Amino acid sequence: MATAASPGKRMATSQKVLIGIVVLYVTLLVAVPVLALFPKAFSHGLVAVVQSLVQKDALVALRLTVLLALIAVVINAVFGLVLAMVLVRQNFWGKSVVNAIINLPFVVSPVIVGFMFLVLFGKNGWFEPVVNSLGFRVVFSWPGMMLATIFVSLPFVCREVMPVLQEQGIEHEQAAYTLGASRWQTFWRVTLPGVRRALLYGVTLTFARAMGEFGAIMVVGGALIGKTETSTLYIFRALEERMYVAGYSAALLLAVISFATLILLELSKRREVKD
Amino acid sequence: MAVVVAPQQVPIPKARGERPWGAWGLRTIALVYLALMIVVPLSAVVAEGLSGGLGGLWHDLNKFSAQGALFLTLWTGAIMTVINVVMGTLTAYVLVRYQFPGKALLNAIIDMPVAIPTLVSGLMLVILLGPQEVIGKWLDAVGIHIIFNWPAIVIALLFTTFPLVVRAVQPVLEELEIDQEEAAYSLGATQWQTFRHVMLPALRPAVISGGLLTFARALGEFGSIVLVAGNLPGKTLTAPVYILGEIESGSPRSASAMSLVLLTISFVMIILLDWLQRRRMARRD
Amino acid sequence: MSVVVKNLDKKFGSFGAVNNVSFEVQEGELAALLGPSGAGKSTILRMIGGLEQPDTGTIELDGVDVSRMSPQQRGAGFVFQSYALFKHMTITQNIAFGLEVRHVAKNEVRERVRELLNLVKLDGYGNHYPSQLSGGQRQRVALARALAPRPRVMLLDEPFGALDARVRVELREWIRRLHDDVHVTSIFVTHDQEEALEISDKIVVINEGNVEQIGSPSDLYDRPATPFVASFIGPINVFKGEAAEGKATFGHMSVPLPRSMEQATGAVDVFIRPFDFFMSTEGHDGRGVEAKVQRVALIGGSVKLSLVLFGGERVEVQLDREHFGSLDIEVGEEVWLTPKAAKVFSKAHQPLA
Repeated sequence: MATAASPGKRMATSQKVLIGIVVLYVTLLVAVPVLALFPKAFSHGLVAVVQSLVQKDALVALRLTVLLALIAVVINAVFGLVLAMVLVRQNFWGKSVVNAIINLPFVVSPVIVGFMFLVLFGKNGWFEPVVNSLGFRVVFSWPGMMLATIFVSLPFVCREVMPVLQEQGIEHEQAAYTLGASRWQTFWRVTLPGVRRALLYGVTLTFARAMGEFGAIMVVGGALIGKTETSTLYIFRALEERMYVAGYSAALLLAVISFATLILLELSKRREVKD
Repeated sequence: MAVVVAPQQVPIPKARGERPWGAWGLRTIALVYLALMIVVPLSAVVAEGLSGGLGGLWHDLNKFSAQGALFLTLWTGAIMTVINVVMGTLTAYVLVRYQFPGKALLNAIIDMPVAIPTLVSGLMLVILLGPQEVIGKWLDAVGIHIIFNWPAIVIALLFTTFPLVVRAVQPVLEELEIDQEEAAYSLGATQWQTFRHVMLPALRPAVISGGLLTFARALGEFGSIVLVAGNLPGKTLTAPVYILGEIESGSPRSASAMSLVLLTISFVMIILLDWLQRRRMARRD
Repeated sequence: MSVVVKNLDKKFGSFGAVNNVSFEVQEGELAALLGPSGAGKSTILRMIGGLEQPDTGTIELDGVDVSRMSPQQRGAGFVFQSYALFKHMTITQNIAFGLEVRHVAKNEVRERVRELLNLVKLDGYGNHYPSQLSGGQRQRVALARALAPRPRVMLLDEPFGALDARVRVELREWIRRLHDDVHVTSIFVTHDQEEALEISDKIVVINEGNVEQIGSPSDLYDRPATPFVASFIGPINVFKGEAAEGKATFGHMSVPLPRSMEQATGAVDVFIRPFDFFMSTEGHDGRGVEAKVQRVALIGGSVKLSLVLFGGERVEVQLDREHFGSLDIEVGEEVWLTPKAAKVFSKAHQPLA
């Protein structure tokens, strides 16, 4: 392995080879598939894409997707912050277990996530009597999908904020206390501004993850057209029904939204570096 | 990408004066939230899977289609993890140590699989390699069948998990100052010796963490696989797709039995991850 | 305002960080908590500021027991070793923070910030961020920020710890002048005895969580109460000796025991400062002892000599440059040393002289 700092012809060659391998790998694995989507979606022209995107089903699905993602963002931002504060600033019995549990949504299969809420709220489920007596439905309805979306995107805010909170230490907060600031004032004026970049970062990841969820909401929501069909479910149905332009266009839209999210992230990173 | 890295533990000062109430309240909110959102739902599936006792569990799993699905998921996951660990580490190394045009772009592209919905990722692979497409046709003619076959599963998993190893190794490599490498060179070590004996030991925990996370993610992957795999029982049907089939055909017990197996493996991975990270932190102190 | 600390105790687990510490600081005094790192001095300061709770003991500010009060209620200005400036705020916003959280009127805040920027000589830096300032400038911002709400007492934790040598010296002189202007009761923590001796009115020497001695700089230098204080404050030579017949004898030298302890016998430690030797090229009175010069180093206006006694013991002697010049000594030559003053401690750490 060569280093940037080590001069010499031989190293330059090995350097070139390694860079070449990596660039080729990333291009073939990631860039080419992403780019392949574009000509395919536009194969029937721009008008067809726009027409398929403004169809009622597509719009209803997109609205539900964005709504679910926004709810997940708000809830996980608040609870993610609370979790991060508790895990970084407090010591209690079982803390390491809690710390590990937060990672579970990263690795539990989306199908199992949907299934979990199906078991919990569905027929003979533990919470079925409670929900029935309150008179609303969770399974095959939006509350179930909301729970699933919150679950899959739960760790992001917490995981982004924790290291920053840790690094920030408590001295800034103590300084604020000695200057007469109350706990609340200190949180809003010192702690929160200190982690705002990480929070933004976590929120963006939460949003992207929530927008893209598919398996979990399929299982718990039942993919009822016009009711519990999100954009990803709409794409899936479109492909099965051979409405290819509709499917590809919606996929392109989601990809573009994800891409925009990513650019936003990069920009916030850049600004961070500048400061 | 939010790689699962627990931050360094520092001693926490004891609560002061009036603090305990506020601290208690926050902690209760946090723990109740986690219990309701994660622990209770998972327990429900575990309870369902065990409702027929261990015998029932074995009966549910002792089917050709179930075992085939599990086996397929495990070995495609393992192959893919090895590839991702090697390429991910190499990518991280190149990104941290070398300067070259387009580096920022490359760095940004790596995060794309996280942002792009998994179903869309699967769709992209179908478009690229599907039997009706240019490349797919050509490959078919040469006798290489990717889509609806196991290589498609491996490629889809590589796509979706690509950032995990890169983003686990990258920060550690950045922290590892170039001094150590230069010290090794000045002591007469070759590039390979330096990588093998100086860099790798320092990177190993991060590489293993990234690998564990990759494997755990792969076991559960659904969106990208359901489109590309073909889903033939015993041949190209992975465990998550199998679970979906069991749910749809109205056998929740069978679905929860398989869920229980996958969850157990995920738990073990998470615990290993946690243990690795804590050991790394302990060493750093 | 006066600060009274009574019987302060603090344990971290089983480790007694602070043991039964008591001291007083008078209105307007600049006091130093001096001791080696890990001695517990920062913990004491943090307990005064309310950032740490004592296990037992009380802290009084102006006669009021504040031991159980929150830091907000105590109104002590605290300057952290790392400065703890708010990175996301400008210098002006940092200084204004303590006033804004108290809802002081806007124009009053602006006036006070201007006044403080001027006081710490940072006019024109108001719109900078902490990351754009040097270490010494950040330290001054931290001071201004703590001073803004007009604290009744200032607590400074290793205020010069993170600065390089030259800035340290400049800043501590400046702090002394500032203290003389503002005249707020101040306590600062340091491990640097030179720093403490130079600017404080009173020094509390802390070692392993205990108070070793409280006194003015000259008290500590001239009349150390314990061997620890004697060896911690200023360079000093330590000899093992025997007390008998009103004298403490060590090697070929001896010093008289003080009148109060004339009867003492047994093992003693004798402490002699490098300046407290009389040196000559000839022996006299039989009191002096022969030594060989090993190294000569010029340090500004004085000369530091390293010598070896016949017994092999090393001695450091410091002379002013004029005297050294008149002796005309070179490395390798032999000279005679006579102690002019010494502190003698018995093994039980009782000061005898």
